Amino acid sequence: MTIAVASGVLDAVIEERRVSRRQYAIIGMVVFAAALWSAWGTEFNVPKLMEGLPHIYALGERMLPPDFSILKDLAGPMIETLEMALLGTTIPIFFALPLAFLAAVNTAPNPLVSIIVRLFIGIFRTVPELIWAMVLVTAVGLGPFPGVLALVLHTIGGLGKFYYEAIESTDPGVMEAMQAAGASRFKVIWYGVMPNVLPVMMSSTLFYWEYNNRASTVLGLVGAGGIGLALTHALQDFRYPEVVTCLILIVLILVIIDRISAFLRGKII
Amino acid sequence: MNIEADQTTMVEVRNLTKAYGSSAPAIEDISLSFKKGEFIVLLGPSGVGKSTLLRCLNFLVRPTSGIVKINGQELGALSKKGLLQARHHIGMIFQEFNLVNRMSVLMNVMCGRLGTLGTWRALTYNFSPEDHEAAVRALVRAGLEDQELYLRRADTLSGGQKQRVAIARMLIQEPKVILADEPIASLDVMMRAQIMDLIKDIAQRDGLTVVMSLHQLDVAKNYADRIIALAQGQVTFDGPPNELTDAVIERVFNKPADEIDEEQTVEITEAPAE
Repeated sequence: MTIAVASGVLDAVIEERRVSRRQYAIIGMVVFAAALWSAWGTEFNVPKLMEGLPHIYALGERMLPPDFSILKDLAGPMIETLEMALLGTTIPIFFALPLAFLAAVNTAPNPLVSIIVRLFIGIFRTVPELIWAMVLVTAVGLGPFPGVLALVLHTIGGLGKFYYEAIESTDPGVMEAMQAAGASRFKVIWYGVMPNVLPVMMSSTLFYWEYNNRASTVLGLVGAGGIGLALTHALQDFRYPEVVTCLILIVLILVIIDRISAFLRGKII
Repeated sequence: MNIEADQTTMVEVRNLTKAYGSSAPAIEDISLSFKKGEFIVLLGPSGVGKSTLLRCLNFLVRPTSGIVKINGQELGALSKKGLLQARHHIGMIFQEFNLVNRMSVLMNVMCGRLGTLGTWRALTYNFSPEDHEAAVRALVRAGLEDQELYLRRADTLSGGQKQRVAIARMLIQEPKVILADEPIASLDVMMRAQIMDLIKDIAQRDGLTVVMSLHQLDVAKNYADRIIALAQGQVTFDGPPNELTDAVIERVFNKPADEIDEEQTVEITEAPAE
């Protein structure tokens, strides 16, 4: 009797495995087919890449050696880029934090507010900062200011989502204990939620600071200031040795910032 | 019977019903009244509405209909602010202690004063010296004399110590009523007796009404002045422990009385001992 039961269980396990193997096979085929279709759609072409290789080599020759004489002229734009990233990360904190408490289902005054605020956070986040920058450059003119605004808008969306997810993962029992002691909504949030979610929030803020440093280098492409603008000009004028200098500087600074951010995040948790 | 118990009614519940959504009500048409100093145990297996009834007593759960009066004050008639003030005098402890992990022990205890803390002080986490002193007194009374613990983070404590901190947080509210939701379910056997003794002792000295949900029959019999058993959201037994016969127990737990004791022992040995 017991053996019969055991073999029945075994059969079930084998059948389950068979089904899951078939599912993986189907998923694999679908993804492969989609990739093929995309390669056709994007005219992905390996021979063409091979033909292009000599051109890339020639370009490389024209780029080297890098022109380091312009470094002192790049210092200004580079610092501007870092400043854009810093402002683009710190300003959104003050907007993302209250919005997150309105969006999180466990702290929202009512479900409707939560849905509406989430919608806004979603829109801010979904529009890439480059698109925000293009729109804002048209509105307020060239320079780093529209760049900062673009970062601010996108980061409010990004941080808002990180923040409300952190809030929603908080222990409901602690909030309940605060309520039971007669704490107002604000005090429940400030004492029952903040201490536990603060490390996660700081960590995601640092992540966005990192991200914004990368993003702000690109913003110059649409005329929104910083090192990206210098890079664009050098490219447009075919001053390839200067382009390389820009790239080296950007990569170097970004690596340093990633290290700083990783170090700080390690300290938090 | 508790000597402290007098005839003053401390908790009164009339025709209390709570339904979540459109499903069958968690509790239905319950009317009860508890005297000052009475030690009440709400008994029954989980899911019979003990937790809902308990949370209706401080309006953490708002009843669908019916009246709750604490110390003569009808909770449903209070303003938002009035309800917060009323809650300040109703202490509550929980199965999972519900401390703020990343806060110090002392800070956790002072959270019991949030109901009266000014907004500016609350914003800056700046409790007054009096609050600090009261917190230390409460901790000592809850059996945590070791001052080295006070500045440690709450999540570094053992389960028993955590429940003592939670009791101190409740004491600092100077409550008239203590609500306790399965306060010993997450503790090991040794700790259970200590925590139960502590709550009983505090309640007797201060003349506090205790309303405690439990599923351990033996503990309920040892400590309660009065046991109230719930089944399907309604009161099936209400009386002193000595009237809780095997026949009643079978009806409450839906199985023979001797089997329940066995199950309790098994459960106790398997309880998570932090």
